[in-house]
Amino acid sequence: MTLPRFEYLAPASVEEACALADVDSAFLAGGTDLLVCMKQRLHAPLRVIGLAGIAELRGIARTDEDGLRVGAATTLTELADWASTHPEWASLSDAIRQTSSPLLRNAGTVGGNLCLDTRCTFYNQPPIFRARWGPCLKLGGGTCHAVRRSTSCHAVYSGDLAGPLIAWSATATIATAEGRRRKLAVNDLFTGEGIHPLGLGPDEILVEIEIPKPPPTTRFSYQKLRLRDTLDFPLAGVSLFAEVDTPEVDAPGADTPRPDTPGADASVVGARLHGARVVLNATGPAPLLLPEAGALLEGREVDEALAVELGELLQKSVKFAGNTAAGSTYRKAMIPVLARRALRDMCR
Amino acid sequence: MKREYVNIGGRLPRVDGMVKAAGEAMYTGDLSLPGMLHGKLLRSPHPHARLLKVDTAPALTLEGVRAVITGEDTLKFLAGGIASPGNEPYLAFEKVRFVGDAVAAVAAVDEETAERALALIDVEYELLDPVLDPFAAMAPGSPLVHDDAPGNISFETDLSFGNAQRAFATCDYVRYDEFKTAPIRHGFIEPHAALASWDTSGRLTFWGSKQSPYFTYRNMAKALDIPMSKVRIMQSYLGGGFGGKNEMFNLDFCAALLSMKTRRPVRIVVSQEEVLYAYRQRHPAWIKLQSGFMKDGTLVAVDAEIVAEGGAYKGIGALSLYLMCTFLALPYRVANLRAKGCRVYTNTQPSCAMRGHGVPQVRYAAEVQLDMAARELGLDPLEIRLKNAIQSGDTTGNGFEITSCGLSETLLEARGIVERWRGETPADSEPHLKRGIGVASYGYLSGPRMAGHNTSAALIKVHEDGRVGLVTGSTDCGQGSDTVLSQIAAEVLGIHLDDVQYGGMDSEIVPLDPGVFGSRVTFITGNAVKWAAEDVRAQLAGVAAGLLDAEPDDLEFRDRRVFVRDEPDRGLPFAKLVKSAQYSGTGMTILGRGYWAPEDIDLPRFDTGMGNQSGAYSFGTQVAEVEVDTETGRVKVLRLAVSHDCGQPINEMLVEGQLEGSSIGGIGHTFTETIQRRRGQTMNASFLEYRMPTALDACPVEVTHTDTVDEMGPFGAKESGEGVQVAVMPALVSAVHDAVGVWFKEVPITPEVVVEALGRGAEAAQNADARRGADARRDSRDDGRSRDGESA
Repeated sequence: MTLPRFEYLAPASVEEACALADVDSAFLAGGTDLLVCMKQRLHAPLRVIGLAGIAELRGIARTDEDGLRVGAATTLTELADWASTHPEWASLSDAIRQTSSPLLRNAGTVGGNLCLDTRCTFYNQPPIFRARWGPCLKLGGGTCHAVRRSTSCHAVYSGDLAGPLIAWSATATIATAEGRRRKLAVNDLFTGEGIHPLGLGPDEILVEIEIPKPPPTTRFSYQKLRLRDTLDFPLAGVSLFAEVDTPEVDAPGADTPRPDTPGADASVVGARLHGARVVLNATGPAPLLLPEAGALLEGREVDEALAVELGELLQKSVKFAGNTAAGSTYRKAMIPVLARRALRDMCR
Repeated sequence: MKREYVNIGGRLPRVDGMVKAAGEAMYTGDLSLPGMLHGKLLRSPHPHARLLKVDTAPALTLEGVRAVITGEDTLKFLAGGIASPGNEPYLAFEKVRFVGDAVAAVAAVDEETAERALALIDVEYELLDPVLDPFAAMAPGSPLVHDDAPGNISFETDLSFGNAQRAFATCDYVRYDEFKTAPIRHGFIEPHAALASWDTSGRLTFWGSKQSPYFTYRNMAKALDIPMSKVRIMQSYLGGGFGGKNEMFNLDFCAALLSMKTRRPVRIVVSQEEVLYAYRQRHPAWIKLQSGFMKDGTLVAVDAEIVAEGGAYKGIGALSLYLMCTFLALPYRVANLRAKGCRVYTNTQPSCAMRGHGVPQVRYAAEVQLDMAARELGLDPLEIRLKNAIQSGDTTGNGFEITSCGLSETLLEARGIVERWRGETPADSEPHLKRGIGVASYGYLSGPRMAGHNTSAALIKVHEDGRVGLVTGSTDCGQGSDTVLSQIAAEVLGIHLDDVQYGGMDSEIVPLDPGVFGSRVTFITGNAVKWAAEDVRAQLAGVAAGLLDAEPDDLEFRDRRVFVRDEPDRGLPFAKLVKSAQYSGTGMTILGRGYWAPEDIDLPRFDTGMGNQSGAYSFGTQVAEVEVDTETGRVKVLRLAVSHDCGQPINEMLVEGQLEGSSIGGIGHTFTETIQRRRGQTMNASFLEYRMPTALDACPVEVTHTDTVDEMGPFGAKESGEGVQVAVMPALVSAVHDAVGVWFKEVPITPEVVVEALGRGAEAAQNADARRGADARRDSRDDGRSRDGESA
């Protein structure tokens, strides 16, 4: 596979990068997704603007409020390694390490993963596929190959970082072509549209993300559904971030799993959650922050019943299209399993 | 008893290890020649269509395009075919038969121009109804993939000995099951690549990525209608083959024809995507299997009906089908067998050989059914295998002559492993995680007898510094045969492995060889090398005898010296002897030659499956431990063990590498790998979406060798590496059953399939310990025939 012809530009500053960009350009922030898409001729930008040489985009620093500021061109490995050596951030490291494989995490960046294009079984295909089926909605055609007669694109946002970062209430700083900066919640980066999943102009750059320091009693869990433990994009993901009250007594009933619940695990008991933020990812064109799930969990003690309620709520919040490596029925059925496992992590 | 060797049996490093690790090994895609053009193939996006028009004129007007060829520019040679003529054009004429079938090829000054030219070729198709399912293909009135193949039947095998139908009536217990396997990939990392250079003298020099270069040699001559002597095939390093690089492909032909047309070297390297959607796959198989047993577990009769999806072309599918049928006769004694196989054309990628060649599909079915029967009969899975295990000296009903055989030893070894693992395995750590252990056995051949040329040969040139050059027509596709063959030469000549330089394949001087398939290289080419080295040794011994005043037969070659046996001081260095031979008097040129094939091996009867197929058979038993996540359906393979009878291992490290790679490959076949198609279109033509296990998905593999020596094999060696893939699937399926109480009769067992099956059979899932209650069910079958109620 060859890359289509393009001009490569390597600006030294964010402002320069923004000034070079337009609708015919693409930013290269690791390239693990962009270059594959270009080889498949899904994109053919005339100019590729490499961001690796921009010092401002790299590195991890503390904010004044003891939060974290992560440059968008920081590699996933760099962030995961840093977080794993800082206990209050370690659970974030676990989430990052569920992304792809070690080799691709060495190349892939935080910004690149966050700004990942949506994916679809019928979109991420070589040209021969389109020679027969024609272009889909995402490529400017008139037909959705995934959902018959659909007028909207069902491509799935498949980044692994967005869910966790939204759960951690992270914000993003965007540089605009006019040389200004704006900040917004990571959740607000996403349009919810399969065709253009990101609310960034072609000449806007994600500069950095800020993650507020988590309260000391915080626990976090990212549950990712996939078919292999490496490489795979998520088929669904549940992020759960919450402050957890330590139970006053040891988990009761630890030795008496309910016989009527297959796989009942008594450890899903005992924690009381506050300020929970629950985010689904890889369930549709954008990550989905569910305040109602947070409300459901608020102040509640975790038990099996709550796990069931949460699972049902999450399950009701999504509608899968059959356009990933696993079927919709399966993915839907797994949502409560992921939810329950996330809750169990709160109790550990 | 095993003998003491210097270069045999140890853990010697690969001869190609350094250059490969350093990235210096040149693969075909790395090669280039001055003035070289780049070729690309235009492929059909339709599974079945008539070609109405292929207009290349617009492409030829593009600057930088040097030639465009279509089926009309070819001699319409049809490739493939064993037992009957082939039917695969290198460039389609009249019809395209699958998505990816090649329609035209372009040579241009660079890849980009070639790609742009493809888009300018104007092809008009008349779409035909595609045939996408083998059973629909066989139905009356189905469209025909090939007009001369009614019912879309590609080939049929009907193997019969004893009388299975009559024997079932005498059985205490008979069971019938239906199994299915998915189409999967070879998964080699180096894509197909070809570099061809035609010169004014009418000679074609070709570098390819070929397991079996002489297949290409012959087909190239026929397809271009030039004498074979004008075809020179060179083989670079190979980045994996696994059966998928035996045949000559369209890119090989197109590179050559484009070079003829342009008088410039032409290189074509296809993308991995193209490999995945436009080249070969393993035959998916539908297997109806009935087996009859006595109460004590004795296997009495087997009856099988096999439908194998052959895809668009014949290829070497007759051999595939023949192997599927004949390997119902191995590795257990069975007096009555009927195996009817049918290979069917469909409008999908052609199926061909792949590691284990047809045998993994049928043995998956047979081994799993054997386990099912064992449990129904209240027998331990290892006991029922020991009861029926084939033995040295046996001849199967279809004529396989079993010489060396360590199957029972591997089973006893496996029993120890299972006991140890059961002891080590903790109680299920979490309620949703269920562990289980399974076993399965296999037999495999050491080189199949093919219908045509079957002899391997070797040449050894002795250099004046005492080192030797060795060439054979067998290629190293990663399995390590260059090393193994060099070890054999070194051992015979009493020199070190470092002293042997393995040369590349060059048909101009390297002797004819059938190729690398069917686990034939160590066994057959190894014997040829041994003979060639003995030829060298005899020539040198003649010279040494004069110098040392001794009889040639009394000389020993060891540790780079030649000396009179039992008088180590009466000798001289090997290098000095060589020099003496070359420099004294008229001087000698020491060249050794050897050729070998097993004698008295029958020509295969592809239609009846009768005859002895190989000079030796390997055996082994696989043990697997899995952990099933009953909530997500994910199965994690915790560890595997292989107890293996490959005779005398020539290189233990390489044998282990073969067993590990083959085992992990079997994990993919069982759980994650399948080609997903939608209306004939391959939907997962990438290593992201086609899920082979990666190094990070691999598990530990314990390897134990049994102590057998094959009389015919070089230094007692026989097959290693293909056979073991035969037993991985059934061992894993059995382990999953052990964990969750469900038999899976279709692979791959994806998480979705597991969740669905556990949901359906929740009761069975909760009774994972049902294995221990098998006794209770043993006598409940008075009609002697059952269907498994809890299977998926």
